[in-house]
Amino acid sequence: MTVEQCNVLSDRIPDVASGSAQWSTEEQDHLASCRECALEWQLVQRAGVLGDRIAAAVDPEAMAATVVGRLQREERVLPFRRPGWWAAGLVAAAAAIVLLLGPFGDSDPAADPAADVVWLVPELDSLETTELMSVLASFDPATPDEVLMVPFIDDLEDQELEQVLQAWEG
Amino acid sequence: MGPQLESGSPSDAELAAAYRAGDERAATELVTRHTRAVVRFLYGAGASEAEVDDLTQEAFIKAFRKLDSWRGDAAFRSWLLTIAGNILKDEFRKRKGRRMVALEDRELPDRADPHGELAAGEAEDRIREGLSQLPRLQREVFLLRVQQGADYSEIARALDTTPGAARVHYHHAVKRLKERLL
Repeated sequence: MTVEQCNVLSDRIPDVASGSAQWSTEEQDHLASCRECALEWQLVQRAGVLGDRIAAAVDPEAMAATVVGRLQREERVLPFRRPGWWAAGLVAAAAAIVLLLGPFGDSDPAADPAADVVWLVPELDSLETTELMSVLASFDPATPDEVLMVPFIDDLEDQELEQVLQAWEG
Repeated sequence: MGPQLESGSPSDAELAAAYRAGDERAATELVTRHTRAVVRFLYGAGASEAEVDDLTQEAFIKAFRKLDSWRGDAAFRSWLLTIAGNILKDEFRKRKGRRMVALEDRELPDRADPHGELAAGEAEDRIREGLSQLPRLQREVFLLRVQQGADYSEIARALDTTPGAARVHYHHAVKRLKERLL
């Protein structure tokens, strides 16, 4: 019995234990006389069947059904976790905000005169004539030149002024 | 159109390719084929009987998620078992390093050799406990060699080490486990 023999046997023990190799007569003799190798042989044989009882109780087809079911569910959910989907989602959200609130840069009052008029109408009584003219002009921003052509009160002849005052006072 | 599952007994590589191409039957076949090996490996490495089912399921899910990273250098089963080892390591970490090898409930022996069965059960517990206390590489090399019959070259490919290093890990594991059996 030599250490070299023990090493050779040690390397072969798993193969013989699994049934993929067999002992030679010499190896069998060594195994019978070497306590260390016999113990290792016992260890590997027992370790080789660890979990066999539990594995036998597991249903591989049921396991496959569970695993494939989970994979299918993930396949339905996973695309939305990918970065591309996040980017697309952000773009869609931005588009929705723009549609709801109107395009950026559309805050110029002249672009939407009606909105300003709504706020100005309650205060018309306190306006000066020139301011009133401006407000009137804003009702139709497409024709500002026509509004400007209306003569100011200072420019009216006496007779015209009286007509305007009569119209205002009833 | 990618490869589809054909009749006969396709290899693991063919099944993996078929799954990548969208054939779910390939996944079913791969799980069915390797479930028991994963269960035995996890149980041997220290998983309790109660948790081994869930851990096995997780190992397969993770394997399919990263199937593209399996290049076929190592056998599919060896690659899968290293994933199972990673999952078990994470589980150990969740327990804050406590490696719990539950002594499984055993029914009272009622066979012809009750003492022998009990002794075998005790030996199994001692081996599992010893395995759970080995460094991870030693434990996985030992289990791949003893349970799966993988040679050192195959083990080295699966664990990203050299055959010589795998052999050294194996013999260290054997030495420490033998001390537990004495």
